[in-house]
Amino acid sequence: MSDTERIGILFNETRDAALLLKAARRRHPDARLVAILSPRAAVRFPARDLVDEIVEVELSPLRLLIRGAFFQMVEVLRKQRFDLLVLRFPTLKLRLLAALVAPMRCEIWLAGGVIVPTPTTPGAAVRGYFQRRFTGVKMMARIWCNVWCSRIPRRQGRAGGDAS
Amino acid sequence: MRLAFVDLVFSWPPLGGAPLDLYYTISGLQELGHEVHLFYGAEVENWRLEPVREDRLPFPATRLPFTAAETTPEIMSGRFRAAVDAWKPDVVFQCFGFFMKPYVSLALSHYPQVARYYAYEPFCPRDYRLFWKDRTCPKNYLSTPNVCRRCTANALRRNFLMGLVTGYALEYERTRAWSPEYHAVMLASLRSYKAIIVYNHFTKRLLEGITDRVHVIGGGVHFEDFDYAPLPEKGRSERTVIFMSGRADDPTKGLKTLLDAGKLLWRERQDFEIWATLPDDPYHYPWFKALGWHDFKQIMKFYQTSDICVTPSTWEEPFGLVAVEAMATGRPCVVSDVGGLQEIVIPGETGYLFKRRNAKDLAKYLRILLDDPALRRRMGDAGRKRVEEVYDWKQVIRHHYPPLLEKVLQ
Repeated sequence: MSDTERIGILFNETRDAALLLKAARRRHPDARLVAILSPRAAVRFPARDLVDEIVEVELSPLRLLIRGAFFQMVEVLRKQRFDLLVLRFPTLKLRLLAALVAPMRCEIWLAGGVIVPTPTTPGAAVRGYFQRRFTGVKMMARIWCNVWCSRIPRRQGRAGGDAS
Repeated sequence: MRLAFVDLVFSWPPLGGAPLDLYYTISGLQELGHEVHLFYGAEVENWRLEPVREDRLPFPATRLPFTAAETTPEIMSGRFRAAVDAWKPDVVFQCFGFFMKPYVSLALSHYPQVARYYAYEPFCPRDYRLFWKDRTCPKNYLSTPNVCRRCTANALRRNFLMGLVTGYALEYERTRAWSPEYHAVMLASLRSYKAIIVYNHFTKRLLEGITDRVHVIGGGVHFEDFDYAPLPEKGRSERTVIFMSGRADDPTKGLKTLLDAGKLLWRERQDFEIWATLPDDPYHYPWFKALGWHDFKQIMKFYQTSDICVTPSTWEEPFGLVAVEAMATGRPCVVSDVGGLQEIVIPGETGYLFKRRNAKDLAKYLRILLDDPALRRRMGDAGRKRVEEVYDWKQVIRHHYPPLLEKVLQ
């Protein structure tokens, strides 16, 4: 890990920001942490002292649409040249945004310490998203079929005390 | 005696109570003269855990690495079996693990085995908390498996649909934990254990009808690490400090109940402050202070500065380490009547038990303690004595484990 590694963390939701930043600092002690915030969130950002830098960009999809400023925002983030961009939610929109910003690496950090690497090119991001979704739908269909169709007989299931 | 410990998700430095409990158990048994060895699964790729710092462990350990692709019941059971067989233990302890634990247990069932459950792993495959809609869940995987299978599938649906199949969800997928076969494996593993250790009697009751080899053994603290700090004398203008330690931002820890009690008390008196280990303060009450996250040394200072400690958990807290820590520092504890907490505090002697989620009840006991510094001191002293006698790790190990091992080997 080099001293100059820049890690951008996109806070479209600032709840538990301090926890996430502390985890980021633990994981990358020498990196420069950059919080990406909307101007409104930046005013009352609770973990200001835990980041090295704050980049303010408009993150509201509606406002970006009305002002037609989406690509300007992407350009601002692209210029930051992040080594790692951290997203907090695994939505297609955020994955696409990350791919357009083109950091070296991109990861989704979810609650519970789960980290999922995600592609950093738009085509791969879209393809990866739908592939995962399709696999997931297939798996869920399999699980639901099993859960509803192969029931555990009552006699076997009655073992064990009652929690109530 | 040669004792092998198998842990599927071990972390060190510890990420939670389970590795800490295991560390003290192994160290304590080693001090009693047993030969010990830890076998742990290094699922760095699946669970994203930091590598274990083996140099900081005072006992020998064997790391068994597994990639995400290797996280299958067959591969994990096979590797653990080969490693443990090579060491030839007399007894195997099955420690922390989720969906893989029953499979690994069955693979090692040719040894006398002792299983330790740290929360409600066999009863709640959804999130091992047995907590549903702000209440203790009345269902349980062993008695109502079909309901619990549906509930778990529903809870993990998001992971699969979003393509986030890692950690808990990956083990669920690989073990086919939704299937009736998994339920049978779980029951077989529970019946194969020579002893099962749980933290509280509530958990023991849940195992009724499955096995009668259940032992309730609480956790503990290293008593020497806790300096007794006499309750500070308060000047007239000084406020009494009510302290809540632990993950206060977790809704099941009951900070809301404490804040509601604080609101009730503030209307009648302004001589107290509530402190909680909360990362941010979204409330801005004049009597509330969010302390943030701190290391053990700093938390000790908070205990010593405080006058009353509160643990208002709403879920069936399996043990309640924070209450023991507060008692070890000589503080009276007001805790909710849940799981292990109600077994730690003796009401009227070392603190009070209040009805879970009942702010009025909590406020009533806080009022009694706020009014009477002598009572606080008396209860604090009694609490420290109780920890020294019952919850010091040395006592826990000496008192419970030799008879348990004897029984297991019979």
